[in-house]
Amino acid sequence: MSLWVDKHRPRDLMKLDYHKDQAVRLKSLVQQSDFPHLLVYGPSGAGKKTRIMCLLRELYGSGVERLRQETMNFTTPSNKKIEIMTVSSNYHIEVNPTDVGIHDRVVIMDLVKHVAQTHQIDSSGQREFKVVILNEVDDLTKDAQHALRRTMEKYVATCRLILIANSISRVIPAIRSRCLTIRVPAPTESEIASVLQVVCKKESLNIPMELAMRIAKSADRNIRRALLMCEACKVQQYAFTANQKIPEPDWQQFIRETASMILSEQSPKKLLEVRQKLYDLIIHGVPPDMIFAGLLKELVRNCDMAMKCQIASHAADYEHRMRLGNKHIFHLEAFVAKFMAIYKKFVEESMGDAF
Amino acid sequence: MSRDIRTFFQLKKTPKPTVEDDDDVIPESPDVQITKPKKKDVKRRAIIKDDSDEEIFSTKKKTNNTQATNKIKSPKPALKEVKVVDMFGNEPIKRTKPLINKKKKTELGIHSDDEFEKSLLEIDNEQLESNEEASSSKIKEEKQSPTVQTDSNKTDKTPSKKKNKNNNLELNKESETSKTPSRNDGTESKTSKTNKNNQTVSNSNNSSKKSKMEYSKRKFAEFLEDGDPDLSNKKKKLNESKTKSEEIDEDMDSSFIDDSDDKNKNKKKKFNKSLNESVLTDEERHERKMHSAALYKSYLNRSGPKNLGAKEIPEGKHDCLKDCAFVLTGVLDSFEKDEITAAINQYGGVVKSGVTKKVTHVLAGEDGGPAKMAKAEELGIPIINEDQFLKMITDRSQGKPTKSESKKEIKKEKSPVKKVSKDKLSPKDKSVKDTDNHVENKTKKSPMDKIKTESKSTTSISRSKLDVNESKNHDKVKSPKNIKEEKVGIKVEPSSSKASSQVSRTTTEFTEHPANASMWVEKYKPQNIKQIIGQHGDASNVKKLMNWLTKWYVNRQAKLPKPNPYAHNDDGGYYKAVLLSGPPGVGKTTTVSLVCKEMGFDMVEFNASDTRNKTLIKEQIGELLNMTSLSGYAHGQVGKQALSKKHVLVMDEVDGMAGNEDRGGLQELIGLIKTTSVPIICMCNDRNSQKMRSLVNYCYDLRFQRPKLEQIKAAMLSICCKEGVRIPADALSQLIVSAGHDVRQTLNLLSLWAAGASDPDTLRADAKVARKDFRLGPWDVIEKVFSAEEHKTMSISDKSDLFFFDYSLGPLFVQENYLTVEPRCPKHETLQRISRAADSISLGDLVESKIRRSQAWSLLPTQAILSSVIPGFEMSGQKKGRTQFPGWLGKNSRATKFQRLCQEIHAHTRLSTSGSKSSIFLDYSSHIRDAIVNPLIKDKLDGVTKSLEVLESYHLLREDLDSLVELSLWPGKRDPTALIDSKVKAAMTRTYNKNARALPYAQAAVKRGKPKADDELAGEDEAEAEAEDDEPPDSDPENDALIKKKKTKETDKPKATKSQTKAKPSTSKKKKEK
Repeated sequence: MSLWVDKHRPRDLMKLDYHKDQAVRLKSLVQQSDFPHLLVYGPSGAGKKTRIMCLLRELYGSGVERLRQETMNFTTPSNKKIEIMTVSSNYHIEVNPTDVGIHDRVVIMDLVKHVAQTHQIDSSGQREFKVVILNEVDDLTKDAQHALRRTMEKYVATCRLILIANSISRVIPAIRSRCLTIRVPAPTESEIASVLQVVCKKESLNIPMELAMRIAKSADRNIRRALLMCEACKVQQYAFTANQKIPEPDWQQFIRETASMILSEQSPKKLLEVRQKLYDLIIHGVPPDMIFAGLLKELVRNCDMAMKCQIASHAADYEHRMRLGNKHIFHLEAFVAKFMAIYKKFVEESMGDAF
Repeated sequence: MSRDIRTFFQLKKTPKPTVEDDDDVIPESPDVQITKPKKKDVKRRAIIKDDSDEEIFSTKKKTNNTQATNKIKSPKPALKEVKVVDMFGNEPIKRTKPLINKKKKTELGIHSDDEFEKSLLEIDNEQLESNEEASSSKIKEEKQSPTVQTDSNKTDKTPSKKKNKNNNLELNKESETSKTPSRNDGTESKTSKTNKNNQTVSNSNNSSKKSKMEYSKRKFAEFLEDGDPDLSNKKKKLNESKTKSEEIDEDMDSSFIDDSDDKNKNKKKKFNKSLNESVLTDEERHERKMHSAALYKSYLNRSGPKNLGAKEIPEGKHDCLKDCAFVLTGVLDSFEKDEITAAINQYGGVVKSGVTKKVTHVLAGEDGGPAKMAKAEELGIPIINEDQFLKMITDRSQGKPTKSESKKEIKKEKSPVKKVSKDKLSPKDKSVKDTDNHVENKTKKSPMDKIKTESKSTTSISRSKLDVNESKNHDKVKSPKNIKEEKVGIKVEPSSSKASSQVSRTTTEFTEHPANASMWVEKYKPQNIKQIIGQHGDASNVKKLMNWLTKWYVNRQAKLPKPNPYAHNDDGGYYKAVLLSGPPGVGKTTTVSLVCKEMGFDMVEFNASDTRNKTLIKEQIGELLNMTSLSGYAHGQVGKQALSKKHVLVMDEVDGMAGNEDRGGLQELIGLIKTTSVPIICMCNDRNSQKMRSLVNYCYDLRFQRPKLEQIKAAMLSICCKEGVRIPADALSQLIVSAGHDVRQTLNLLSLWAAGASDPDTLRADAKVARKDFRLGPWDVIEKVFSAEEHKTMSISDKSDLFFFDYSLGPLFVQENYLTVEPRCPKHETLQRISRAADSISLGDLVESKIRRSQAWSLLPTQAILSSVIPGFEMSGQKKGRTQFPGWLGKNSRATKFQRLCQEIHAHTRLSTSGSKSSIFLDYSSHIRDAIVNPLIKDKLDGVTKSLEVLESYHLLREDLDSLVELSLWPGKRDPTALIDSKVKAAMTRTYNKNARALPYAQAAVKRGKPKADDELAGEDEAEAEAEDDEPPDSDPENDALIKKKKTKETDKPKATKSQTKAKPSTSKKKKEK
């Protein structure tokens, strides 16, 4: 028994709940029996993957749902053996190259070539190309992205790439220009609320609209999170009430706690405690950029406009550095230290004014 | 006569070797020679005194010179005449005036000798000639008069001798006997370079003689006070005869006279003054004490130098103040005390805090401490002012090199003299204080002495005078002349009477030469086992090695058990090979070669310069060791003896057996050790290195530690002594420490230093530089990075050097610890500084990632600045609390572990979920966990099926549940699985195992990330042991998710057994609980 989010996942393009016009366009794209490389991007929990699977089903039929997992082995130039798990059907192969970290270039080169070089013998199967789905393209190293762009042109006859990314800002322009970019925006809160109601109806439950809206809001326009939260709400207390407590993800709570720690006291000692908190966040796999965003959101609440700007720009600066650097904690800590310094000064000045 | 000498010579032969032994220990070092035998001789002398003096005296002299005997004979007739002159010198010895007067009278009567008249005439002539240099010669006179006086004093002591003096006949006879020895002395000193033995004897003579001289000098002082004009006149004349000789070698001595000019004047002055003043009455002293309180006040308030910087300390020779001890008192006119102290130290002098006998000068400024001054006066220490001091430096540093050399030599002898004189003098004697002055004078005289010996033939008067003295003081054996000659002789090969100073110069050059002849490291290589530094004790490696080698063949017969590796008193009998390990320069190779030599083993040595690969070791060495050595034949042995030589294979630098050249060498060496029929000695630096891992198991382990500082220092000092190099003890220890207690390197550094400037300061600087090369651990580095104290003396490059001690760990240490530092700044600024430091650290991380990603190692200095220097600068202050190990490493590995777990779950759930890995982290993990756990908590056993359904729908393994729990558990939250009843848990696991399901993925590939062994769920699971067969099926990767398979054959035997063993204890535990 799966969770609702997986149980009620739409399988057909036409059954998608939102961005319906986009779905229609995709359908018409596929009906021409061919399509260019796709670069699908949008925030997490917007429904990219669902949309793509629907597209493939449209393309190949239900065969694409007969999935299997395979482990493929590669050897890096430095003779390191790496293995990566792929999900594939007869018509497509899906891979997450970032699983192998900095060796993703090898995966891209070998795997895509391997797939692309194999011609579909049985062309009675609907299409004469295979589809390669690459996840998290924006997290690919630059090397891998460059390796990708030549392959994309060279094997266009035998394979199509569908690249999935959260943001195209980190995808090199060369790739962007070779793809048809499809943006899947996060659903609006009302859309999420309506989806929640649809799902609840399927589960033969009744959810008040207010609660659905609240869930949608706290889920940060992430349909996956909204559905999971909704289910958690149901577990917590059935017979939904409009103002029942919505369980929040632990990590969000944690970030909020950290932020309140920073605001409560600005001292080296506190900074040391904050460092431990930040470590915990990082260990638990919260992406550091989300930590940045979460912290910033909480921290600027008590600030005036000028300070908000200042702190936001610093946060952006440190986040940028974090992306370039290796050790996320250094930059997070530097940001916190910066904030503490600015905030303390601000507080002291305002105190000075008061007296 | 000659017969006598020979007989004496033969007699003397036996004592000789004993003296020789002493000298052998430290050959060629004049210092030691002088000091060592001195004490001995003092003792001996004491005994001798009681015996018949003459005999012993003559024997000694004779033994010294076999070769010289011929020479002695020829000048005899001329010498005879000289005795009269001796009378001159001897007379004034009287303590009381009347005695002296008496003597004079007798003298006058006696000196009717023609020869004497002649010599007097000569002296007069000389005086005329030397009118031009009258002043200088007069000073000379004064200086020399003490010595003359000495002689005469000596005669005083023995009344019988006095009579002899008066008696011409007796004198003649005596002078003859005494002359020959004295001659001998001259020749002896000639040969002294070659014949060490002689030298020591004469040295010993010197010391005792000197003591005598000191004594006589005192006498002379008194005598001067008495101020007998007649006597002094006579003496002057005598001295003039000496100054005459000066003229002969004017060119040589002129500079010397200049030197001595001032000092003598000064000293004379002070000398007299001190004599007068030291007779302070008690009242006066009391008065002074009364004033002292007031003086102390004024001392506290006293001002600094009035004309600070008005004068400059002149450039002098580096050792021009050698053996001078100063006491500074009062405020100098134009120098700070520190400056003067530095100058004195620079020129080899010492600064003492209090006035003692050892102090040679008191440097007094304005408001000098009266107590110090008084004491100085009491002890007769010259009190000089600033100008005199400066002059002293300039004066002393001038002069010809040969002179200074000889001066130096004499100065060295000074200390023994002092001691002896102290012993001899009664404390009440005021003139003790003059000792130093006199010694000074004496040193000045040394060139004179040389000249004297040279001009003996012409001015026989002076010589004969001395000879007489000699003869009179047989017990003391040492005539002043001898002393003087010896002084010269030690350093300079004494020339024959006609030899010029040139000869002496060349000889000095010759003596200096061998110092540079060969490397010190080679030169002072230990020649026997005892000389190895730090290998003396019974537990030393040398002993162990010898023991092991001796027992080697015996031990091969006996079947010994392999010893416990932790046994302490293992003699290594089990092992066929020994591994010597230790840092370079501690004497491993030396030890081995010496031990082999000592024990008569033939060394077959292979070191890193030889190719030592598999084939070579197998074929060449293996064959070599099975052969018999013919080297015995080469050494003249015959028959079986020559062939029975024992081998030992020495593999030096085994840790250097690496690379293509020596491929397989170590393995083959181990093979060789197993089968060897000879002992094998291996040597390496680091026995813990990876390469040595296999070898150490087959070797008796002998570890060489670095010798202690004292051990090295003692050896180095004796070498320095031999080389005639003076090195300050502190600089030497600094050098040793900086060389890392490496004997070889210390020696190299020393010899380099000795060959160069020979300035202790440069040595210290060198030592400092060498120390910089030391490796600091990150813990030490971090202290320095943040310490404000250290920063004061560090340049920016010094600071960035700290980073380079460990550039991968250093930045992490900085980041971990910078918050615990309390920067020295106003409180409100602290956060600003922290923020700046953190900013710099974050930038440093950017640089580092750039370096690592694109191999841009040239950016490392940039990172040094950003990651270490700037944070250090911003947070410069005091570290609070302990330095922590970077937490980043631990956190990072934990983060990677979580990533791996997550990736696993992601991979397993991939078919049924969308979303990336981070969505598992952020959203799914807690929800899936709750979906599984909640039914178990709520419905207990009935919930099992429900939770298993969830597991199945997400294709999760039982282990994944644990990972999920771990992933979703935040610090400070409760573990929901703790709420599950253990029975329920067990039931769930049992059902899970029974219902083997097909998985869409190959499980083997996932096994990498097995759950932790101490997993409590598994541990408490009773059923697991029973259901070991029901391993989750190893499904075919080609299997479709829909195809279900019954449990497949158990492929994983090892795993099954493992789980069994793991489960068994837990079951037993469970039973107990029940």
